[in-house]
Amino acid sequence: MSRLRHILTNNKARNAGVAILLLFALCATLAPWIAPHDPWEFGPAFLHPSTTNLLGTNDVGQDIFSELLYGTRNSLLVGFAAAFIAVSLGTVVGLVAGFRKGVLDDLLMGVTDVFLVVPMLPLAILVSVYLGPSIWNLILVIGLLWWPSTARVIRSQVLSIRESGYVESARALGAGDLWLMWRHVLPNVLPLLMAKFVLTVAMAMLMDASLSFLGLGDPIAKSWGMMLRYAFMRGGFVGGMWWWYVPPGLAIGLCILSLTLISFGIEEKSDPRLKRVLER
Amino acid sequence: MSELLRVANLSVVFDTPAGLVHANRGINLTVNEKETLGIMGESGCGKTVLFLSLLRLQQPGRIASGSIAFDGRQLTGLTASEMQQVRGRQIALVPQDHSTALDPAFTVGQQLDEALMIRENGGGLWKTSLMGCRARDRSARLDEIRAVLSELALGELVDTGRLLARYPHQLSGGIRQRVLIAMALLGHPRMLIADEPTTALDRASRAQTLAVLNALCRRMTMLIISHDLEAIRTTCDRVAVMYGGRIIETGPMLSVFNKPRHPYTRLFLSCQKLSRGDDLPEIIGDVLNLMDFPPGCSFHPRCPQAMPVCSLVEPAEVHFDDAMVACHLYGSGENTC
Repeated sequence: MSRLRHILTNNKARNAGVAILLLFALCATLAPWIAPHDPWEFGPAFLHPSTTNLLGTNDVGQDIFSELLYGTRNSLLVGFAAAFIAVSLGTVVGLVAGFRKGVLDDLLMGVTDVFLVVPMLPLAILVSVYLGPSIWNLILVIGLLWWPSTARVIRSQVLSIRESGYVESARALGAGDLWLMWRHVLPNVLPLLMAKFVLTVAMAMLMDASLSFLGLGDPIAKSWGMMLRYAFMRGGFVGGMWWWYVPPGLAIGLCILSLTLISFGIEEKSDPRLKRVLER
Repeated sequence: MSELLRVANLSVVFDTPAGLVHANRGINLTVNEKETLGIMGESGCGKTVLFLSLLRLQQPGRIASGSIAFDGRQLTGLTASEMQQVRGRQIALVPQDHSTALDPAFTVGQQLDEALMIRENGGGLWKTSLMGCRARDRSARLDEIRAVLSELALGELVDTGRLLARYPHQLSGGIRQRVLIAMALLGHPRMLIADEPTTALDRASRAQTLAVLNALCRRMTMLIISHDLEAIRTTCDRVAVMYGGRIIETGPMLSVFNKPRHPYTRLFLSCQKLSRGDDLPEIIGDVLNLMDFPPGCSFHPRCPQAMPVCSLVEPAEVHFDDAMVACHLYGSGENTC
């Protein structure tokens, strides 16, 4: 409990981030109960905001506010699942490359560099076109393409940790490489990993929105990117119906902001030297 | 007394962009069972590389030639996984810097437990982490940890339960040092290597650590590396003096301390036997550059007793009853030209 209080009172920016994210998480879990309408139900189209339809309706008469709530589920799911895949992959690559050094390191980092150099969005578009539109394909594409930066960051940290006194002394006790990586290196890169994970979630959500906007997401599923896509294609932007396209855009922005704030907070906590720079 | 460790003609080199660094050049060394050998010498003389090579942890250096026989087994020929079984269980190391040698992410108790799990299951990940927890129940392991801690006089100094729950940064240097000794002892090693066990400590914890080592060296084989003469004097049976990657003098501790044969040993000892008002003695010149040796005896540029022959011929080892010295002053005449 005191630990929780410590985390919460430590940093205002991060608390704001946590609060916003919790709000979104709440919306996502409670969507079926708090949404005023079924977002897939057709009705009168192009309604303006009113008390029955808080944000009006879209071109086929689906309630936009309910769509927004259900979209939270999709966006968060894609963001976290893709980030989980990306960070796990990046961690394994970075850990092995940094710890083993030598030829394996050169090989893994060579592959990483190739992935880093290739522009991500066009590649993601290409792969998702090939795989076909679905949430799971989106998660897979983002997860499998977004690991190189994590691998780089983790490797650089591992390179310094592997030379530390405690790794050396554990090795002298008879510990093997896998044990050293699992027991000593991984726990000591964990703070960095957490910060990187949260940031990757933000990137994955942005990527998800971009790909969905381009029509590469599941056309029936509700997601913020899809809402923007339909608002764009079916006259929402041209018709000046701000209640259609501003809320999903704002939601994406807020979500990414909150994740970035959390990431900075974690990074600052793991390395207090950063504190003053961030406060300024 | 049977022989436990025999190092013969061991040479360790480091390939660097600037050239080959000869950290150890033809080391000959024996350590008998239950004996404590002290190795002393200036910083940069190759002490650390020597004991790291005994554990085959000298990377990126490589053993260029020579052999290390431990209990009749050649360590130089072992595979990596066989060597892993030797580390900790046959030869254990007490690292020098107690402030970095403990993992900041785990409590002292977890790290002592880790040492035990590694001993019982080998250092592999799956065996140690998965079966390690089941192999013997926690309380039995805790009992063993407590027994070792009380042996190191940590039992009465601090509350063991609280000590085990502490993180390394919450402890004083002396206690951390003893936790490291405990970790090494939990592996039931045949030989313990202590790397500068007293240098990073204040006077009080140094005295306590020395008392602990002193008690230990009565019952086990130890190799103590230090330039703290008092630490060597209170614990060691024999000493070896290193200079420029070679062992230049060995002998029983008392005879080396009282009647040093090599001019370097004499100077080295005099630097620490000071009384008030004495001029500060120093060994003129710098520690050897291990990449570029002077011809002949590597100490001759700094030696007050250097003779013409010293700059030409590398002195051979001259053996006495139980001592050895590598210096032309004691040459049998064959080496002089």
